[in-house]
Amino acid sequence: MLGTPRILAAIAAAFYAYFIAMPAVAVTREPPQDSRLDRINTDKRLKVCIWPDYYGISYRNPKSGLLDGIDVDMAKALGADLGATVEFVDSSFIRLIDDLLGGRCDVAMFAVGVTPSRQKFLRFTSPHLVSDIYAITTRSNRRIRSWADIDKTGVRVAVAKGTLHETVMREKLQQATLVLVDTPHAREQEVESGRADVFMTDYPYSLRMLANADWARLITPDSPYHLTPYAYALAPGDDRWFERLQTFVSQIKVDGRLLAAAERHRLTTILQTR
Amino acid sequence: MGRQTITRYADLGFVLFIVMCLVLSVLSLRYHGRRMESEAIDAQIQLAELHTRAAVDHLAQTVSTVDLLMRSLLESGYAERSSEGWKTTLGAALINSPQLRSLSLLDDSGRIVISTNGENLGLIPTVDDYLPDAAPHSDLLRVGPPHHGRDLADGREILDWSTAPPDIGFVPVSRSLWMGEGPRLSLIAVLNTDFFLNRLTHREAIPIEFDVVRYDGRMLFSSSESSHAALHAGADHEIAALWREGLENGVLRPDPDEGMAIVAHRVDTRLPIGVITRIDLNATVMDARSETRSQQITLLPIILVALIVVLVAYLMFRRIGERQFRMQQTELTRFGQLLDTLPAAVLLFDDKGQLILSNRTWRETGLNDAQDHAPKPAAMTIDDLANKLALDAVHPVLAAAVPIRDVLAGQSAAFDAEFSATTHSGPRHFQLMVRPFAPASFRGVTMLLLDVTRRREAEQESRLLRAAVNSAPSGIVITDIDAHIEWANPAFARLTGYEVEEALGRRPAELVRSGLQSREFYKRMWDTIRAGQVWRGEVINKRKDESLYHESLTIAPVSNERGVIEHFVAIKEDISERKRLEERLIELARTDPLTGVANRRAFLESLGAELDRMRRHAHPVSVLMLDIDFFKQVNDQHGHAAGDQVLKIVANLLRGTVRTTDALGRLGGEEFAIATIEADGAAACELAERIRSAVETTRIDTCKHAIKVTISIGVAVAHCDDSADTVLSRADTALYAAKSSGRNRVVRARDLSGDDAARLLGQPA
Repeated sequence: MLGTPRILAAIAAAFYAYFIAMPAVAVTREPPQDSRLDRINTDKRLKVCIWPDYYGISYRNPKSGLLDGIDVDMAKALGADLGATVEFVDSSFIRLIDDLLGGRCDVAMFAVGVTPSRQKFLRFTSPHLVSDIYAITTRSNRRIRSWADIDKTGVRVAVAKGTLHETVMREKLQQATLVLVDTPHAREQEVESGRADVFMTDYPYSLRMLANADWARLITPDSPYHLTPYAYALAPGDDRWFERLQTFVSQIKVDGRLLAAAERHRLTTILQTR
Repeated sequence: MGRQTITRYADLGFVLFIVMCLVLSVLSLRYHGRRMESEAIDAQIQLAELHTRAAVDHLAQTVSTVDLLMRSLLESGYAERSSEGWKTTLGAALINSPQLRSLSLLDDSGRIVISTNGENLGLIPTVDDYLPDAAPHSDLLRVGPPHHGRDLADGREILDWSTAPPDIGFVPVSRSLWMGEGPRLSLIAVLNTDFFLNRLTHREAIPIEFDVVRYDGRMLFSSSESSHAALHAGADHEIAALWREGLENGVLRPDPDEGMAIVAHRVDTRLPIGVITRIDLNATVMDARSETRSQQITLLPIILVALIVVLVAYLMFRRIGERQFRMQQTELTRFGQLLDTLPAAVLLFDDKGQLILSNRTWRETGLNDAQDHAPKPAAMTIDDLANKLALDAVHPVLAAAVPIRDVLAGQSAAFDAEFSATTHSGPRHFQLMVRPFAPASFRGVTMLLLDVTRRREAEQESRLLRAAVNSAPSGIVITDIDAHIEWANPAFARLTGYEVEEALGRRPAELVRSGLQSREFYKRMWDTIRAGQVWRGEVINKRKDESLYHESLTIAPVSNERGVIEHFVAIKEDISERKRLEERLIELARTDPLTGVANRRAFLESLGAELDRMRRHAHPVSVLMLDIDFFKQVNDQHGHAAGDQVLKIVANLLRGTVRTTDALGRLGGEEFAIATIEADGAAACELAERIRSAVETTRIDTCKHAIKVTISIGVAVAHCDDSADTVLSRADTALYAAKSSGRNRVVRARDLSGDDAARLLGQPA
């Protein structure tokens, strides 16, 4: 089962290396373009934007202060590939665009959902994860029993501002009231206090809720609701940097580093290996 | 009680045992089940009590925190806080307080002037039925009634719990602060009941329900999602009544059949909130029962299989046992039959000296009691037996019981004796052999009684025979087939001069053969006896001192049962004396008793024999007839004694005159005859003349007289064809002639042919 996608991925990587990476190498022969890659090579420092509340992706364990997650692992792998020290820069989905365009980090590596609104400002690598939307309610909530109970009159659905869920739910909800809160943590508060009935989140975050919040109950969509690919985001332009990142993504999909990290963080179900 | 009955009882007992095992198993399983139910109920109640305590603690702590928050908000914001400030402060207070849904500030008139939820603004909540019923200026936290809805704005008080519970609800609490002259400020916090339910709801296997009840018995919210029956509400009120009476917590043990029932309750020490916990004990019991059932389902077949295995094993063992019993019975029967075929009586006594086994021979000895003919021995002890025994001379003084008991006690290895006893068929002799019998765990003695009466009689007979043979006058010898002496009696020793001891092992031929019998004689003897026949004969044997004796010998062969000759018995009788007597009788029969010369018959025999010889050898034989002259006168004149004397003297004279080869005989009266051989007529006449002359000249002295007698003699020469009578007749004729011619003379008989006579007599006719 696993063999075939891996082989296909290897073939894809080979094709990519032949048709795309080679011209890129040829480009480097041209007069040097101002690229982050050069700076990284010079400074030996790689600045990576993360959202430290993203459980399983880039999560700062409040008890130890240490970062953990699949994209933390991948950032470290990228740093190793580039021979640079990784500096993690705390960011969030609200600040993401500003941080990248403002140059506060070289790349955002925290499973950034590829949405059209973000694509207007940012450039994305090939996705390495893909997640549907999930709902979290309380264990004792008597209104929400299944996914179908969400879009009902009187139901309040909390989403964090700036997340892709805001966009998606604004489009999808017909009856229910959408409650916008400032932070992802605030939407948990809204639900736990009963001011909202559910909040929408993705697969990695739902894992965290189920693991850490005794009151949380997961509501999964009966059929794929809205699949969102997750990728690494960078500022537009800077082809060389982009190509380098693309190469990296292709490599981790082939050489098993991505799979190993996904297994470690229990994210293999949403792994995008092609 | 027969073996069959015992087996049937054993079977019945075993079946009872199996049934008892089953019943015990079922009973113990039932008991175990009851125990499990009881323990499960106890555990559930204990768990419920713990949950209740934890729930009250959690409630109290959370509400106290809210109380503290509200108090500090009021106290700090009473004077200085602007409406904008209140808004920010209240909003901040909600952060990380999931137990609160909203906070609202009420002005003196009871209207909401500031709220975290804008929808609440302007509302005037009813706070009359908040508990406790304090004065308006009281600074206690007051707990409101349960509400349906998310917040005050859309909230409706729940008055009746018998309808379906709200899908979202809350409980408002309020606190007021009034400082002297200023306005009275109140805060109403909307408590998120879900917050508590999330924590009170446990994922227990057995459903557990909490009712959070106000001190006045009004239910605030419940973990139960079903509509509360009036009964539940009533029960809650009863519990709350208990609280108000001072019984602030307790544990109940309801009947499991009641279903969901109160098992624990507790009210907080300070706040007017308590928790009443219900458990479906029936489910607990069912759980335990299903556990018991599954145990029974597992255990009962195992027990059944085990019992079946035990039953099968029992049946197998029983079959084997029965087979062995039958085999033992068969063996015992055979053993009994074997014992019965023994010619000896066999008795087995146990260690108490009691007879436990006997055989047919014993029953037929006639020693036991007459009625004891059954195979099973009649009660008899060693002493009983010993009393019947009269021990023989070997153990003259011992009672038999003592040595037998010694064997039984192991003090002696065996006891053998012979005794006589009076049986039903008369006195008999028995040989008694006593041996210990101790196979495995048994200890006893076996006795063998052998009827030796016949042997004893045979021995007696043998003794008599031996005495008879030993005292027999005849020598008796027993030899083997090769004639080696095996036995001889004293008479043999007397007869032969050999001691019995030195004769043993030797052959009679070496001892007594005289050599006077021919080889053919012995061969005939051996042929006879080897043919199995008795041989009788007379032999002349030689004694140890070399003297000969006549022996009458009878040899009888002795064959064994197969007819093979193994011994010879020889009976020897010394017949020397008899032989002598016989010879003497013969001599007497041939001799004239008066004169000692041959009598007429003997002389005639001798003459016949001489005539035979004459014919064979052709030598002459002559016969002289002599007759004393006038012998009648001698008798008449001198008596018969004198006559006899004359006859004796004449006979002696004749005997002295004739040759030894000549035959002399007294033919009768005073008449004698002489047969002389190898003498012709002349020689005969000369002999006759010498005799006549001698007689004439001989004086015969009797006791009274001296007598002279003369003698006349006729001579005849025997012819070839003569018989004794014819030649005697001629001699008699010649004698007659001599008598006639004057007596005291010799006359020679003339032959019919003078030539013959002349030739015979050597004279011319």
